[in-house]
Amino acid sequence: MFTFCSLDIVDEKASKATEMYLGQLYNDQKWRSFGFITNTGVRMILVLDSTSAASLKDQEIRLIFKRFHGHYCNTISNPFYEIGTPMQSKWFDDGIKELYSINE
Amino acid sequence: MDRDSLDLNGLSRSFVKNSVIISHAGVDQSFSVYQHALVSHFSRSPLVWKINNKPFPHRLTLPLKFVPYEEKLCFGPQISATEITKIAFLHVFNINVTSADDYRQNVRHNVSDWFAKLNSKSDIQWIIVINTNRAKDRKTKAAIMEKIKADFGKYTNRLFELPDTSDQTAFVAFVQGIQQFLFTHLTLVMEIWDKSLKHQYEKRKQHTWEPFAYFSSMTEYARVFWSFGAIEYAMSIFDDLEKLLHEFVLRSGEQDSPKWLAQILNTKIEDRPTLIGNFSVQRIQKNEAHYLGMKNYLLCQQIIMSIHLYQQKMKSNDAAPSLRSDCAVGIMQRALITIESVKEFNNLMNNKRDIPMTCCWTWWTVSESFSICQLLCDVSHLNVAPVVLARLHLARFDAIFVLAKQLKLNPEDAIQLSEWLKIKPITLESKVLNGAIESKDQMCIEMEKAHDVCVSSLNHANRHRFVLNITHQLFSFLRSNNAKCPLQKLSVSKSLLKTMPTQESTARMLKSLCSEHLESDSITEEMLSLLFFISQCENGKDSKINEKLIEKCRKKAKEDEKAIEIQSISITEEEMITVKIENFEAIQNTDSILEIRSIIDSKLGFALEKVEVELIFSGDSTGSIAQESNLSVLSLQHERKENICRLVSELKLKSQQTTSNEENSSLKFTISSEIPSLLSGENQISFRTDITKIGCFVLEKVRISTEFIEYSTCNVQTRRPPTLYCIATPHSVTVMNETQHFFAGVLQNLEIDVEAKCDIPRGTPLEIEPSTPNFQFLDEENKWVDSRKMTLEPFKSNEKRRIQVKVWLKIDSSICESAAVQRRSTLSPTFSGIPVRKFYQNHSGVRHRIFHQNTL
Repeated sequence: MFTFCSLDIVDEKASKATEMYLGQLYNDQKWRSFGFITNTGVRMILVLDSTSAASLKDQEIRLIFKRFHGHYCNTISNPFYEIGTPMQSKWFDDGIKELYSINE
Repeated sequence: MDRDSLDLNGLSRSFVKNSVIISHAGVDQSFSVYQHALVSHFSRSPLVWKINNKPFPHRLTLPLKFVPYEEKLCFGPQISATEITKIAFLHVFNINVTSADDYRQNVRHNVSDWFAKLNSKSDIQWIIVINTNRAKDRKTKAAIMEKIKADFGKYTNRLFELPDTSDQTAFVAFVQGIQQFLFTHLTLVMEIWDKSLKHQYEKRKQHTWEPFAYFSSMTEYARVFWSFGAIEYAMSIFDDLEKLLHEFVLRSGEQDSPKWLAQILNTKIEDRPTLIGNFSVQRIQKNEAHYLGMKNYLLCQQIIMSIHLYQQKMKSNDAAPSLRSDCAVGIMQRALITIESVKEFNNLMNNKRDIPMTCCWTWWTVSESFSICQLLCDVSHLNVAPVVLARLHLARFDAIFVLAKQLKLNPEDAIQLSEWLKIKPITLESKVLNGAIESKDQMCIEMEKAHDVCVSSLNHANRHRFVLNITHQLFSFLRSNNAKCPLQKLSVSKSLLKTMPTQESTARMLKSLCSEHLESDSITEEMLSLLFFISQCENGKDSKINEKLIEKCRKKAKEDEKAIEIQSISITEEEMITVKIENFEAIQNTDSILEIRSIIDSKLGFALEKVEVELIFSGDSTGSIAQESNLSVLSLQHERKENICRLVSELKLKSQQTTSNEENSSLKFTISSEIPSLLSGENQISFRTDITKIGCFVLEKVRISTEFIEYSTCNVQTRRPPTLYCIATPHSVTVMNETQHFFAGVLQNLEIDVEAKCDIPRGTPLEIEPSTPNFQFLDEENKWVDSRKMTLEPFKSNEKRRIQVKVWLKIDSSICESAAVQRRSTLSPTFSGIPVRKFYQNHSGVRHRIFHQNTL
């Protein structure tokens, strides 16, 4: 539900955004969400727990999105992948794991 | 001040300006005339203040206040920055004498004493005003001035002669002089204050830093400029201060975070801060040095400042028409920022102790800020900032939701909170919250109320997903309290479902949210869409959901007396069922059997039973690619009556023809097949039919239907265009002995030759009917019948057979009237069950004319 709500703010911010990174979207007692929208309208949401989010700087969150976007682009470049279907890619999974390990 | 007596002027007056104190000594009888003029002049004329040789960006109006001289009003090094506003900007000594002797004898020693006291202090601004209107003549006036100038020879620029109240030149010079000295003092004071603030700011990362001292000094500093009319500048100082505090809170997780944050955390909230209660508070007290107190004070100041700014702009000639709503939005935005930063502080500092109090404070801060905005305009219909309005309502709902959750976890907090809410002055909100704390039912009622208001504003701001979220929260709370969920408040519209990703987690979320709703008997379109969407998300894994969907569809179809179209309840634009047609023989003749094999791929996730699949071909030849794309196509039409040609839009022609086509069903050709069940995934279906029509038919759509549900699609995958050419083959049926005479009452043979021009793979009926009722035929059971029916064995191409039929012509009076022999017999055999051809014998009985029915 939390992630789902964040999409409302992505929609609001996307129309006025001048860059792909949309900044913080929504937060509650436990979670904090950040948004990113690609030029083709693919929406990416990063949800962090409140304390982790506070320790991360804006630039670090931007970097996470940038790398995630890179992995996403590589995955959809697979000619056998059908847009809109769940991504089942070893490279993508490895990339995301790597992203996690860097930020831990 | 309370909620009922709230008004803009009252709010505006709650700010007490810091005055520019001017002390005066000496004889003040005549000077009092000048005092009023000076106060009026400086409060009305905005002045340019130059600091460090640069003009200050805002013009200042100085609220002068004349007070009798006291030593404590003098500036000194022992005075702290916050006390700067309490000292006099300028010291004035008034001399009003009749002559130089009068001065020497009565005034001089007083001036000397006064001057000696001032001289002992550093950086004092002073002037001496000499009122010479009591002097008899010019000579005496000059003598007085000369004497005083001799005493204060070094400070002649501080001596101002006011010979007469009507002397405008002298008064202007006097005003300019005062202005100069006031600004000199202001520059001096502000430099010291700036330095002090800068020094404090630099120490902000030290653990011993006193945030409250800095906060207090900074707010005072801003209030000085606010008093001098530089409201925008003061506003920017308040905003910066707010940002600074917030930044510290955000960085509280960092290693080098200062310890003073924890000190703020340790300060207990003993008072009950409210906006309305704090408007009249000019200076924040030490016991309010907790984060909530500081933020509340800051918000109060910002609100009053916004109102001052609004009133200032309202007086100007270029006031924008949206000034009222702009001011209201500004207040709401500031309230929102404050509420969110307090929430953030509690979250990041893990301050669970103050959560209930913060929730209560949020609850009434939202209400009070709305009440204030309501003085400016109707915020419920504010179209300029629906998001801000929605976020404030959301904050209010969140506050009561978190409070309820917190009290459920720690019921012992309720007593302490109740005591806190009873701190005077008791407001409507504190009473409501107290009631909610004491009774769970009341809490549910208040939460529902907050939910309803919030939903309306969220919908106005197009935050439909948030609506679902808060309804989910409300239902979770009500369920946990065994209260009845108001299902009518759950709005899962089709447009909202469209925004959700089709995945299992969405189905789980929806099932949890709508558990009661799904169990209800509702068969609305929304309900069907919801069930269908859940089924799609899970790919039909939940058989209960599928059963419910089918049952509800059946009920709905029965009620509406028509099958439900899957497209009408489907959320996605995606094709639910795709049809692939394998190659088939495109050219068919009227007696052949057409076989088409197809693969129907169902993505419904569940099986459909007793399904009829129809391939609907259309023989409408007017459709062109251009017309399908709604492009303008012109066609040349010939008008017979007028014998002229016209260019006519084909769209117009098409619309005319469509109506005629509907009437003529011969342009439609449907092939159907019934299957017991259409499973999820690929289904192979064969179609087999006789060709009964001729023409060119293009596959228009495929219709898949059960008794309660149907699906039509035009998107059919084929390797070739799915076109069917049905041609008629002219089989011939000839009566060989038609030329012979038929005698009445005599059994005779009728010889008929049947020739098939192509394969006729099945038994074909042949029907022979007489044109007059006098003929009778002998059937297989040796009975006389009026028309003869027989079934012919299948034919091969070009096969010719002769059939013999026994016939006799009855004898009746009509025959007897004329010749005994009747030669006007006419036979009409019908072949293949349809009258393929018609022939008749003319009266001469010599020739036969054969017509093909479809060419007639």
